[in-house]
Amino acid sequence: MAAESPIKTSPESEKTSSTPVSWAWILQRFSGLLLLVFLGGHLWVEHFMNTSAAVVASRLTHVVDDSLDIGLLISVLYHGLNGFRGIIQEMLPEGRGAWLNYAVFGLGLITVVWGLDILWAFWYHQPFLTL
Amino acid sequence: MGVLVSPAFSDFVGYEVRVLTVTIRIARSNGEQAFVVETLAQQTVLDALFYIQNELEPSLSFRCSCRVGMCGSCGMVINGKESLACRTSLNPLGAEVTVQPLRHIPVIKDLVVDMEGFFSKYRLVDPYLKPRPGLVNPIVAPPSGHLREEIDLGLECISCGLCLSACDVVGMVPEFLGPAALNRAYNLVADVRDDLAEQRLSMVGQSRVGVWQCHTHMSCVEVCPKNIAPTRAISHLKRTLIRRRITGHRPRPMPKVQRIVQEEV
Amino acid sequence: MYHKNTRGYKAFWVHRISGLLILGYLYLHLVLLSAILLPSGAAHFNAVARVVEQPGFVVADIVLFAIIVVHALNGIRLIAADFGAMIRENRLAIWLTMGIGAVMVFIAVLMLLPHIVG
Ligand code: SF4
Ligand code: FES
Repeated sequence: MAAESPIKTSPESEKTSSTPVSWAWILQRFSGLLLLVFLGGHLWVEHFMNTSAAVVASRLTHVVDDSLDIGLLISVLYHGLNGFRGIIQEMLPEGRGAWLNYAVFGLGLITVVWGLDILWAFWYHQPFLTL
Repeated sequence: MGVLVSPAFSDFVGYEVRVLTVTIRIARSNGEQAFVVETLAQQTVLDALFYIQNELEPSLSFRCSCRVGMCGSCGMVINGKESLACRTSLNPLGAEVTVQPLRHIPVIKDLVVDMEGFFSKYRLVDPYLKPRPGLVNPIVAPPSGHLREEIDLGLECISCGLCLSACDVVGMVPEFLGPAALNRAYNLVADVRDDLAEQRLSMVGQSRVGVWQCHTHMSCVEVCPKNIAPTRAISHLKRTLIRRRITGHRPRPMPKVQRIVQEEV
Repeated sequence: MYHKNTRGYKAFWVHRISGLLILGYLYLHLVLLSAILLPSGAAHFNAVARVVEQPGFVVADIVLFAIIVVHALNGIRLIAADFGAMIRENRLAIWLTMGIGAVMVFIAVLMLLPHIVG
């Protein structure tokens, strides 16, 4: 039936997003799995309650904890902001999402710098960029 | 549930004949209308609709054809769940039954929906097999054997549209192809005799239209009368597309179908 | 009108809203930690830390932990489905998600109880 029906849509049209959606999709899953490790570790190390500057600082002198915190910062921001972007993009009409990618990427970049500065303040006892 | 009609008659037919009194609320084009219907407990929602049409309200419109759950024309939302009216018996539904037309496709009148809304999406994935060149007729995937295993799982679709109606993602993003079309696309992609895998994959790989829009609600799996799991087909398509994205484009090797077919013949 | 939404649909909104709440908390967390960026940051940080050790905040922490657990376990269920697992068994998978989540939150409450009751 209808065997003459041609394919109507051209192959290269991964619309709406400047990042191919399949990358955004797989990275969302991947960062989610990473977060299980990083956030689990973060909560475990924090032990829910252990927050004086000295304790946090001594903890942060260890390489393992450093990478844990940097990894957590980056993966949580990717996962959270990419999820946020997806929700907004779904609400926008088709093909109206290009600015959103730049806006969310910029927000993520600023937040990473902010978070790194906080970590820096604990490592070197004074922030790189002061408030 | 229900009132036992006559013990002697029940003995005669071999099961308990009970009569139910059911209020059926139908979402008609011009608003909701309730009918009180006396039916036998064994009867279906479709039987009740026929009773209403014959005895109470001749202008009630609904579709059906086979009455045995194989044509897929009597799909409607019964007590909030997409069901085939001919396969839904009244007995477990209780004294109040609500019947609505399928969602996400236009209503023509009462319970009759415009299935073009379903088939226009179905058509986009080219829902027919185009044989790979070089295969000699008859192109058979033998009923037993691994070529069948994968495609058999999704072949039973009767195009009833229940899954499209149950899919709330289609409600949010109307251009989304929906479960049935994607299930069909996967079935053909998985079929080694098919020649259009590339086109189908590029169709279902688009944002909004294709598999990435699926939010894994799995509502389609819950309602499918043929026990198909479109979510499973969609997950296969996602993995196939991801594999190609990571490893680069790699056309499938020519399958061993030919050999199997010839052995078969 | 009468449509009852499926469990997968409800889980989807739980996932979305919990995700947005966690993202909101992340920014709150960064704002609070930013006390360390002020001049003589350690003192400010310790002051903030004393405040968030109040029992009320610990209860809020448990709520936050519950939200994270729900999001994480539901995420695992969705990734499993992307590998074709637990699709027909979705009902069971959602109950498992809730059961395991409840146990984890219960353990968290036990661990944090000393901080709540004094
Ligand atoms: S997949 Fe199932 S619910 Fe969907 S159209 Fe086919 S038979 Fe109907
Ligand atoms: S009438 Fe054919 S499926 Fe119900």
